[in-house]
Amino acid sequence: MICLRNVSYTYPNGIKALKEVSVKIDENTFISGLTASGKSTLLRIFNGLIPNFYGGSIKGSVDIDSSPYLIFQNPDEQIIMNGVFDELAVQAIQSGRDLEDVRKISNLLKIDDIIYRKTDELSDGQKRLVTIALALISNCDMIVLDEPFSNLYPELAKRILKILLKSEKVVVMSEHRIEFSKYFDELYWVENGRISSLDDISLEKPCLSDGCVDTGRSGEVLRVEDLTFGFDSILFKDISFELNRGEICAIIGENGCGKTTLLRLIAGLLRPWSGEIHVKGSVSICYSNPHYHLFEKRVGDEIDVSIFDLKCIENRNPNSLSFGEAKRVAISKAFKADILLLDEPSAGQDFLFKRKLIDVAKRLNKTVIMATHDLSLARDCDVIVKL
Amino acid sequence: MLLLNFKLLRKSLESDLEPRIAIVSMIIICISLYSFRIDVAIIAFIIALIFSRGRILFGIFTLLPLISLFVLFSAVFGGIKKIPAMISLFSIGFLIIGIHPEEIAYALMYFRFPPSFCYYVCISMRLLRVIARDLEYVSDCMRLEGIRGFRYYLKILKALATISVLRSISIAESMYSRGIDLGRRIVIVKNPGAKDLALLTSSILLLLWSYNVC
Repeated sequence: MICLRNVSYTYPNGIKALKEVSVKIDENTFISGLTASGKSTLLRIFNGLIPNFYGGSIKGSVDIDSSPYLIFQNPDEQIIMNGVFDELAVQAIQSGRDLEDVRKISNLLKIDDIIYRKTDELSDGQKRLVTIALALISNCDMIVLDEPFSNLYPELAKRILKILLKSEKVVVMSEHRIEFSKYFDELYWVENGRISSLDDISLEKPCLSDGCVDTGRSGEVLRVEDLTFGFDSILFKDISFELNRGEICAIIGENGCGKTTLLRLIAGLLRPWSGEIHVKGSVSICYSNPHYHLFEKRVGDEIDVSIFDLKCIENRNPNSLSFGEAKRVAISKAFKADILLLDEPSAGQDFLFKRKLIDVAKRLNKTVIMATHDLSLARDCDVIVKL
Repeated sequence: MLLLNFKLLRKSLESDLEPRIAIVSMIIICISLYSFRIDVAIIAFIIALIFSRGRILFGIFTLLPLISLFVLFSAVFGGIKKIPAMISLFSIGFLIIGIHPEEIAYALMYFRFPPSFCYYVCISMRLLRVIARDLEYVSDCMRLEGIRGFRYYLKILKALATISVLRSISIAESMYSRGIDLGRRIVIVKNPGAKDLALLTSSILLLLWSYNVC
């Protein structure tokens, strides 16, 4: 059981993340909220990382029976070993369990096919499954998940959620996709560092704003013809599609089907086995990890902050931002080119930003190709390519 | 312009050698190289080339700027004769670096090194791979942005510094949150194959030969 009473927290750099938060968690709980509202901070308090690892100033009373297992927002940051089996084996031995449990959990999650692969070779979704397996192997009574399903195909996400809820552990999940809330007992909403019941919040999907009118499409900017590619074995075969200027395309498909690889092929970073890609105009790519793109001291030096109205973080160091904020900055940076290739742009983003992304792309007449698992975002796109 | 090829560096980080044999062989070859004889250095290089199936060449190619700098300093300070030995030393190092970090850690634990030290070695080696991959992606982005020349190297240096710090913090955070006990000994070993025994034999023969010719 976790009980927070009037907890306020300020990071060492002076940013106030939580204000007078009171919450009691003893059953399956769903937490949602806007980007950078304090959700990840709250989960780190549950786990004890705040204040023990991060420092900063915490006020109020925090009662935690036993430290829960925290699954981070970025699966890449959680994995410490080079091989999947070793990663799971180390966790099992550390938790006093035997290697047979590793087999059982990998069977349960159906990750047997990747168990002897290197963690570096896995897609983000496969890494996410490994981190969930780690949580199940651990002997913690509670699992805390920080936006776990942004890297997973919806069908798979639902299956994994059901497995987690069937386990004898209490599940606390922070997620932007409200549709998952129906599986939970307690629902909370975090906004500006304060927590309230999700039932008290009305979530209306915003429409295209007045200034963001579709400017129409003209001229073909991308043509993909009979594209075939693979690494050790074939990944996808005979993919063909074309896009005009100003069109937005979503690439969807199961985990590990080659969505990011297709983006890299379009960017010219990989050479196709067969087929042709014709691109007119400059291309930029935004990977799922925003830190691959941000190396200046100030956000204002990286991007034009007016694109997504990021004036409030203009003077912050990009590395001090939350995952969601850093992702927005990285996406803004990609807007310098004519054709934007975005890998999981909805990760860490609330429903307002997803809408805004499409609005801004249309207003600026940019061609956007996004690899995503977020079907609600994909439905708003002009073209959908399923791998 | 020569762009740092992180893809090649990652290719060089693949080895299927049995870690205990590889560690012992590396120590033996390093002792042999201490004679600084050019013929010993060439044979050591050939051994590394054969047992890495040529993959060390990728690593050597990636490290060319560093090796060039080393050659320049050696020429200036009169150590030019030691260059072949140093290049062989780099090559032998790639034999070890290519093995899975956790296998190296298990091997060190097998040799009764303190578990915490073994974990540090393992995590450092894993970090090398992660950073190589991260820099590959960063390099991709810079290519697309059209960044070339001096600015490319400057940005890569910045990226290296930033990513190293961020990755180190995230691994530390992960270990803390997962409650990883660095004092716990884990030993998972595999049996040496014919290739491993051949490596051990050739390194012992090299040591005996270098001892005799000196």
